[in-house]
Amino acid sequence: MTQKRKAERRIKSVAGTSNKNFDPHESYNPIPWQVIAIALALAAWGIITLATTREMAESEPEVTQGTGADERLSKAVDAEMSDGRQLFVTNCSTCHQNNGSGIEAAVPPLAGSRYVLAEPEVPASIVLFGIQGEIEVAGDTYRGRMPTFGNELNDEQIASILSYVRNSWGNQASAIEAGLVAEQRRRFAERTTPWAGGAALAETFGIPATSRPTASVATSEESH
Amino acid sequence: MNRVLPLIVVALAILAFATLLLVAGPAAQIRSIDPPEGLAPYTAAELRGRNEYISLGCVYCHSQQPRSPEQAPDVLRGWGRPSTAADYVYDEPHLLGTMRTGPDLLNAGARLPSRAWQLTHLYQPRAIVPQSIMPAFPFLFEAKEQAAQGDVVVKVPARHRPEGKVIVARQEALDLVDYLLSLDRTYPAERTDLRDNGFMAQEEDS
Amino acid sequence: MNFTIGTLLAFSFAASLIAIAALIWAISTHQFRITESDARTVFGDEEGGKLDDPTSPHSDSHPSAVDPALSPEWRRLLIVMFVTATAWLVFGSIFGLIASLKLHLPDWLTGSAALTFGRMRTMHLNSVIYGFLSLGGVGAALWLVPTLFKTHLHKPRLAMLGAVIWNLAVFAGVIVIGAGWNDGLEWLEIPWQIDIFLAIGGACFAIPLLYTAAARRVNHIYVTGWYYLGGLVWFPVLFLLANLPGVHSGAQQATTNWWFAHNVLGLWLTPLGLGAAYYFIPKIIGKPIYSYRLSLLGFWALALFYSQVGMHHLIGGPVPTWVVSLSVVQSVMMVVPVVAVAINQHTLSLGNLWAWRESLPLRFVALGAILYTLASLQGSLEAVRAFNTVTHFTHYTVAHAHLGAYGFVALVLFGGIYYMLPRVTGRAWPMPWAISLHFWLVVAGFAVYFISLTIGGWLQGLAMLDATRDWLASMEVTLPYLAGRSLGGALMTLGHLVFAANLAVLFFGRTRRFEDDSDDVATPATATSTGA
Repeated sequence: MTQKRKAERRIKSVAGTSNKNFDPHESYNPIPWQVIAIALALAAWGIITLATTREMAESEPEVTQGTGADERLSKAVDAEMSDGRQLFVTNCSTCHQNNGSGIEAAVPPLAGSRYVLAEPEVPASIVLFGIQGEIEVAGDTYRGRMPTFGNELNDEQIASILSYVRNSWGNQASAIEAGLVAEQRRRFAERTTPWAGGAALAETFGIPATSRPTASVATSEESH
Repeated sequence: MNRVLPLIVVALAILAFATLLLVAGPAAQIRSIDPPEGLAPYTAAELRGRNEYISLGCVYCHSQQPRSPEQAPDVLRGWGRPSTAADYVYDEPHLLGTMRTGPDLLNAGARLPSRAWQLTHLYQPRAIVPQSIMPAFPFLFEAKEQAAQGDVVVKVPARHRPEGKVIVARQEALDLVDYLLSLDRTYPAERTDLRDNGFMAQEEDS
Repeated sequence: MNFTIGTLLAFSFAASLIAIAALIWAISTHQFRITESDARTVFGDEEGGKLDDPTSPHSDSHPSAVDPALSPEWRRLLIVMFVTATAWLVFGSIFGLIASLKLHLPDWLTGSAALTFGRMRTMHLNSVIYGFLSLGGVGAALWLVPTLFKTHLHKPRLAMLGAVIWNLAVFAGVIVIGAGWNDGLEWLEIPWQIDIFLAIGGACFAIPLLYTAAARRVNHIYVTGWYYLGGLVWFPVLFLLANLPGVHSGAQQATTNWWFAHNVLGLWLTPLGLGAAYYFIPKIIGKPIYSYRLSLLGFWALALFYSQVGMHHLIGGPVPTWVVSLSVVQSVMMVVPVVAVAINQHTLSLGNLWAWRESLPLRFVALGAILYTLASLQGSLEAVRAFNTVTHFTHYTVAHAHLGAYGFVALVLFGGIYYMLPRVTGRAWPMPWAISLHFWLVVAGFAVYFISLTIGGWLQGLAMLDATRDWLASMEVTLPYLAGRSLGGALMTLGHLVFAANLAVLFFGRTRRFEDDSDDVATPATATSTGA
């Protein structure tokens, strides 16, 4: 006990002195009890930490599958990202940009796009399966590939994104119900590949692949 | 502490113990696993692209290891399910990375499958994401007066390319994009015991 | 495997705890045959009790001549080590500054692959770690080990060969990284074909030091010697195991990678820095460290705990939970040796603040030692899962790495070189004001650097964890702090140029030799010298 006190006093006096001639050295300095206390406390913490993670280390937990939605995730989405804007920012804005402008010469714009503003079944089917092939939007031709979102997003999420896109950046079109997305899913249940560009969409939905010569067919060409 | 040899022997013994635990231990567990069914070995072009990725130091800004939803919202960002050791059986060297100055890329191919997008983005990231701080890699491309037969022309907005020229991808750029597009671990996870599940424990505690 | 992971884990941690308990018991009950008077080994027969600093006009001791024990070969070797280390520092700083600027000026210098961020950053890291810090640290060892053992350096020509091979290997490594050839592993980028030469060069340093240790003329090995001997045997093993070509792959390679990368700091640069600090602080102040026995705990606990650290770089990643948890716990246990070292070094340096005012080398070394304590405590905190979730993948970690490698090891080396070179060359520093300028530039620069990146990294981590914010927000929030880092880095680089200029004038300028004005002070025969 006296040694402990001595050590404490020693530390205090050493830390507090600015005396040139003070010599902190002495013949025997024990390990300060504080050091041992710290070591013991950390060891106890370590044992507890290892004990709690041990179970996890030996288990094979269920890990979220696919790139997207599992049950836990859907709950999180409902709670935090229910609105279409958040879902759009997460899933679409990397390419189509936050303002729906797309990228010059690489990604088609969504603002004023006749595919976006067409009958609800068209944009819903595009989001479900993606696009690979030539497509003309607002007078420019794009040759990109849009990912397939049918596996990543559920019907409500797709409906929510589309309702947002169809009513943003000057777009004005009807909101889309989850039921309609589900309907498209059933309708194209056999489909495994993305739509092969504007031509495939023209074939399936009757929306013209080009807006230039006879644009009068499209319902929403006012913006051009 | 007055003799050299015992000091060295004990110091080495401690290191040998650590090696056994941290090098040999995980190796015994991880190296015996089978490749997942959904994971294909890299093709020759993808491997060339992977070397380009290594050579340009992409790993210093991009991780390839999505975290679990219990820990971070990686899944919500579209980066993919939490990865396990089985997802990396063909990776040599590993490219897990420790920085996210850029987004995680383990599922870049599934998330951004367009070759045109990738090429434009490599030539000038700011043509696609105006606020991006990713380096531009113009040296992977060639600016030509006119594209020749078989050239892959890259769509670049006029303000981002030399006037009157077309941008053509060199082989390095095509290989790199091949590699990026191959990054797809969307098949079901295997060996979920071989990942850090320490956060699930905390989740259950709280 | 016929044992469970849980028992393995329990066994490994229990082994470390038993070892540390045995160590504390042994120290407390005088099982080690060392006494507190061994702490005075740093002083010569008539030294101690006075300020010893060749840069201070008020120094009580007069390093009036070049150390007589230094043979010409030995002296030339030390000069080569310190000069090339400084050259690597300058190159490394410029690479680092360019890399830093590129993060907020992404369209600057995009014309060449060698100048892209990924290569500049890597050339920076390899220049400063294997060039500056390793050469400077080993250079200090090549002077300190013989000096402490009161003998001369054995086989100095072999060490000189090592200096040449090592420098050429680092040079080749940095060049090929710039050209696009690297092994793809952080901290192990230099291709293994070139690593062979680093290993040969390293052996050429180790063998003379081991010969010198074997031929020592004092019974006791001072604590500095423990760290140097430890580092000298640990680093080759780590380097060889991690570099074995064709052995490691996939997620398993990641464990080896980070075990190595963390141990380059823990079992190589830390021993080099701590060994030097354990010598220079008491030597300059003229008083022994607080508790010599405590330094035993500091050394062996470092060996025990640091060697099992590193997997916390893979928290949340695709490696087994147990190996991550083990590293987390051992990282936190590192507090024990850090506190031991802190008590020893800081009670002495902070208890003698007058010496901080008098001695610039001490300022560098003692501040470096304090930053070691802070970096280590921060490191333990960063290993804890809850904290790591925020800082992982962010610039916070970069700030931390620089606190350890720069704040600690580089500052200690600066101080050490300022102290050693006048004794090695027999010349006084030609521009004493430049030492002070160097100190304030790098301290101010590093403060700006560290604070910027720490705040920016933390905000980046918070943004990345916030599911309601776009990922891009986590990048955009860092931009002003990345610019701040460039400012700090520019000040540090400027400080390094001042340092290099002072060094250049020392060798090539008309500088005062100590002999010139020593006649009226002391004759060389009676002059105090560390090697006598």
